[in-house]
Amino acid sequence: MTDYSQIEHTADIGIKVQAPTLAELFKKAALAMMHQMIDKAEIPKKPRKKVVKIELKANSQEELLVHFLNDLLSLSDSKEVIFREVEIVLLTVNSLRAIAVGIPRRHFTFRTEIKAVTYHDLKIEFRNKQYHVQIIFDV
Amino acid sequence: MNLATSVPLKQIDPVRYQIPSDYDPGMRVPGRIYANEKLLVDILKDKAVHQVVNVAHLPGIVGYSMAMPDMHWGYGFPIGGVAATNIDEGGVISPGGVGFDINCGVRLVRTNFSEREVRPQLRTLVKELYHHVPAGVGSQSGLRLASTELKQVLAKGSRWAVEHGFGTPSDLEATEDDGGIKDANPDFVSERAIDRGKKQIGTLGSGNHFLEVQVIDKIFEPVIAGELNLFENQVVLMIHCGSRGLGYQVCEDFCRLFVQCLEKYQIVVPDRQLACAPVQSPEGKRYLAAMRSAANFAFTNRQYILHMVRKAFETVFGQTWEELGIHLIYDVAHNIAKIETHSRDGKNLQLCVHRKGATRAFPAGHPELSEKYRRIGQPVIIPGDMGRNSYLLIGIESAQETFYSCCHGAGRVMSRSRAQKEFKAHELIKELEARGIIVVAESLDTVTEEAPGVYKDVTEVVDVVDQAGLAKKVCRMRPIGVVKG
Repeated sequence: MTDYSQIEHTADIGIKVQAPTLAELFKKAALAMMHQMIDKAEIPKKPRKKVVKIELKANSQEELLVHFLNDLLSLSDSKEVIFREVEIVLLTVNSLRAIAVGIPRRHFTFRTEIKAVTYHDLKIEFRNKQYHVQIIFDV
Repeated sequence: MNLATSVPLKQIDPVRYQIPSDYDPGMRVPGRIYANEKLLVDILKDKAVHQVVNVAHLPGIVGYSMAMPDMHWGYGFPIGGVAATNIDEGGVISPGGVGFDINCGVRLVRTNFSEREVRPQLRTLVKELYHHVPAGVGSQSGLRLASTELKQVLAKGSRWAVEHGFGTPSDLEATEDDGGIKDANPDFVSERAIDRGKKQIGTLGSGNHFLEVQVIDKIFEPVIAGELNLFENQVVLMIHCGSRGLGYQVCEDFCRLFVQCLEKYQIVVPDRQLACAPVQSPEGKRYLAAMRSAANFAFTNRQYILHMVRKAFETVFGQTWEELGIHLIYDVAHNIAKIETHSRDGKNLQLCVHRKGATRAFPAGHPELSEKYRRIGQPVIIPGDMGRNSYLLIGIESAQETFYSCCHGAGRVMSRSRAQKEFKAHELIKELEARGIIVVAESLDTVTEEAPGVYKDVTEVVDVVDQAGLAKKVCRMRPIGVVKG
């Protein structure tokens, strides 16, 4: 869950994520984003879970990633959940299908609200057998 | 690390610096930064100056890509960025130039109290304010609206609140655009955005949003202060928040659309977060109508918070808010794009003025001001940090060069992650309390991340604005009670 690093940004929050596959990169970025929002979690043994499906098309993988993360933020807000499990079902150059499992927000205390995911300085790169991405969130 | 050394800055006068347009082949106009030497040191530490250069690429941009002295690194536009585009010459509108928190803004509220009268009840008052105004991540309002009702809010703005007993007509007169921007169209706001907004009217949110009890500790312009019914040692309130999830969703929906528009309109921008479309295009018109709807939501949000603030005062002091003199001084937007008429070289131009972390500052006599303010100019509210000062300024004619725009706050200098290492919430709260400032917060992390030390000194910023002739100082406030998300 905490497998990412934070970068210095004057006003907002920036993170760096790396993974051996693109699907893993998307999943890690999603969980890192949720992790940035929360302070503590007190989850009962069998919490009521909410499952959401996300299907997207975009012009590039960067756009797919931004849209995917923004969809998760939006669903987290409207469905009042925090996503703790994410499965990337399909990922191509321009489409994505994913399933995310949310746990009710009342089981968490929060650190900060992430308003949105931005395109600023975002580039997915492959080097040293790993995919890398840096993401700036508006908080 | 000096990230911006590659950008040439030419000093024009003690508070103006220029980036020549030949620095980057894509720049259509020069960049202009309002700062003094001291502020420039911090400005050059991050990527904000590069973002001024990037904004200068926008099609139809007029004059300069400008940045106010509170500028810092944002996404797309720098925070503190101002850019106007000529809509009759293909000028564009960029959702990134408004930001996710559409019409994030500030309102200043007066009371009849002096500090001495409030002090004995201050702790009770701050707790009561915290109890009345939901704050923090995912905070929800006591007000739940059906979609059809919410669409009325989006179309009417604060007028909806007044019609429902959450304010008075004089509150509307004291709000930018009378609290409701015309030509908003809720039909262009997505269902998902509507869904997010249903439970969020009257909530502060988190991050840098706040509700503060302040005291006027210095008056610079006694005549204007008198006209506004303000006096030294008076207790006032400041409310800072925006359009919550509804606004974020509108921005996100249109960023998605506008990234695709770049190819359609053959626009090249150096950062996808600057994705834009001509104001006159179908996409541009749709965004304007949706953005105005979100702005109206934000005005209503702050209006409903004022209603709850009045209730909190009534509970603590046992008198009506009218008896306590709790009246709105003014409400300004600082994340917005507006279609305004400005005179350039003897011609009247229709411009789309983006203010991303910048405040409109119309001078006396401006036709768009309500009668009440046409005589003295528009009040400009500049919040500082929770340990130092905030300011009230007034718009003046010499700000024509910035399309009557001014700074919006102190501006950050330290990242949130560094603040977490440098400060401890409990110590900060104790320190502030020793100085007579009571802090109540939903999250201790927010207190750390919003510590006074993460901001520039707002006095320095406001002095540059005053010296540059962008607005005139009226009075200075210091905080005595703080509610944070």
